[in-house]
Amino acid sequence: MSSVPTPPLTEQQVAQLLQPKKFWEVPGVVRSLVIALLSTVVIFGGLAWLISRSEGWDAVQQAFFSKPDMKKAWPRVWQGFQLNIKMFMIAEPLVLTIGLLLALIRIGTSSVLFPVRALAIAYIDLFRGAPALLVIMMLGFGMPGLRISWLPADPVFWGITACVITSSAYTAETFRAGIESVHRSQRSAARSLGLTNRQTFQHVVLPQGIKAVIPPLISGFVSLQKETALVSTIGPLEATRQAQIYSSLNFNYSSYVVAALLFIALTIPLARFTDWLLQRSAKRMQMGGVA
Amino acid sequence: MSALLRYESVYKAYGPNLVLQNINLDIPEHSVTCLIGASGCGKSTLLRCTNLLEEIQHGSIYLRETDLAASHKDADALRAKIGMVFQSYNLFPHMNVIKNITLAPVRVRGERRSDAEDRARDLLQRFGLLDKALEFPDRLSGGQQQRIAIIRALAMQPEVLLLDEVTSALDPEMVGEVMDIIIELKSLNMTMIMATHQMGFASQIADNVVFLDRGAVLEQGHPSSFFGNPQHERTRQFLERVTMAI
Repeated sequence: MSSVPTPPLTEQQVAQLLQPKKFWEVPGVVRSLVIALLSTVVIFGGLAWLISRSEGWDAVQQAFFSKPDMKKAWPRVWQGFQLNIKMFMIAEPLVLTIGLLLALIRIGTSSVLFPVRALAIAYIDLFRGAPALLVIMMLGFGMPGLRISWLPADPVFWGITACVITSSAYTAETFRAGIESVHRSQRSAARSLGLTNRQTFQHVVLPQGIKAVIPPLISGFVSLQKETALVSTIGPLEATRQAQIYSSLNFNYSSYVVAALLFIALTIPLARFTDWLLQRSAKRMQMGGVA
Repeated sequence: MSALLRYESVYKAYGPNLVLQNINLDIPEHSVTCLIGASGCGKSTLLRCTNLLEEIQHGSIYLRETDLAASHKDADALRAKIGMVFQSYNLFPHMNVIKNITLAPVRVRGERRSDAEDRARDLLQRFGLLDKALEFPDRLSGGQQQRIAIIRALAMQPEVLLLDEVTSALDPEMVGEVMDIIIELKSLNMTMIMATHQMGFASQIADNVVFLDRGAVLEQGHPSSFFGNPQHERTRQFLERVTMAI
């Protein structure tokens, strides 16, 4: 310890401390970047090297990633994919509506409505547990098989119906979790102002509950988009089915890769959007962490 | 009888625990009553029962001539006459300040939105918060949030205001701004019941100080006699403990 006291920083030095730093000026950033780059090159390079020098690589590349086949398959797979989008666009609003309705029924406490509540619980348990593929096949093959004249026989209709049934069971539980996450004190506050139970739910609890589960709801959208591919098992010419047809006519699987890329391209923006929402709400939590 | 609120032989239990026993209390109109006592003595419960957020097991609570405990059919209408402010503010985080304040006037009293908003702005103006009208609660300090919560309760023009430890969650430098509002409300003749740990504030503002001990009223009186010459040994002990803590 020197006996001379350290002089305080000059104004210029303080100003320098307060200067916003470029991100590469932050200590350690360059080092982390270099390490990340190196490890990426080593791992991915190693994997690529391993795979490409394997005995069957040429055959696999030819079968799955053949560019001419991809080009040839594109028109029909793209056309099929439009049916996926259509099924999804029809199903999603229904899933949200029915899911919310089921959640509301399940949350209710009225004793008169007990039978309805029991039904809702049974529905949710049943269709959350049953694999979507089986529900699609049972409806797609079973319902037309009943030969009831006024029932539609269109497999697209039954495919959408099956997707709606399974997804809404999941979505109901998501909504329920959101509604139950709203703190009791919010209810107290609303009731103390004279709002009825119903008004409290409608204006205070429900909006907050839904907001809390927007990210998992979007995850649900993504699952539903992919679930529409399963409808191929009952016949409609959607992307997967078209890819399958191409593949069996040409003995090449590249058409499947085209379908996969289309699904991925559709879901990535939604995934990034969810990340952004989560990040934003995390920031808000930090700022408003008082209450 | 000129009491605005009257508690008669009120008992309240949570399961096997008796939290309020034999509460008999008169709250005169335009008076400020401070409830004091150790944590868990029943202060908050008494307020929550007054606002029908909790049910009592025995006894009556009269608001003028109406027995609050008996007539649960129109509980919502009664609640609207009794304002309540909570320790943790409980603003609605998904609504801005104006929406927070106007929700109940519009939905419960059926006021026109524009009228309700005008009145809300008047209130905000009076308490120096007009510039926060369009902010969301998470952008406000604790003191600002609590002042908005008080304004939200006032917007329903309640006959009595219940304040449940409204300064306990605040940083020390924000306690004053909330106390100032309460002092101003007293000057406007608002009837208030206030659970508090701030003895200094209680002695300054209260017309009647009520000491609750294990769910019962042990002692009450004007602050000068209550703080100057407490009658009960337990009251003395409590006051010593809290003044030592300060």
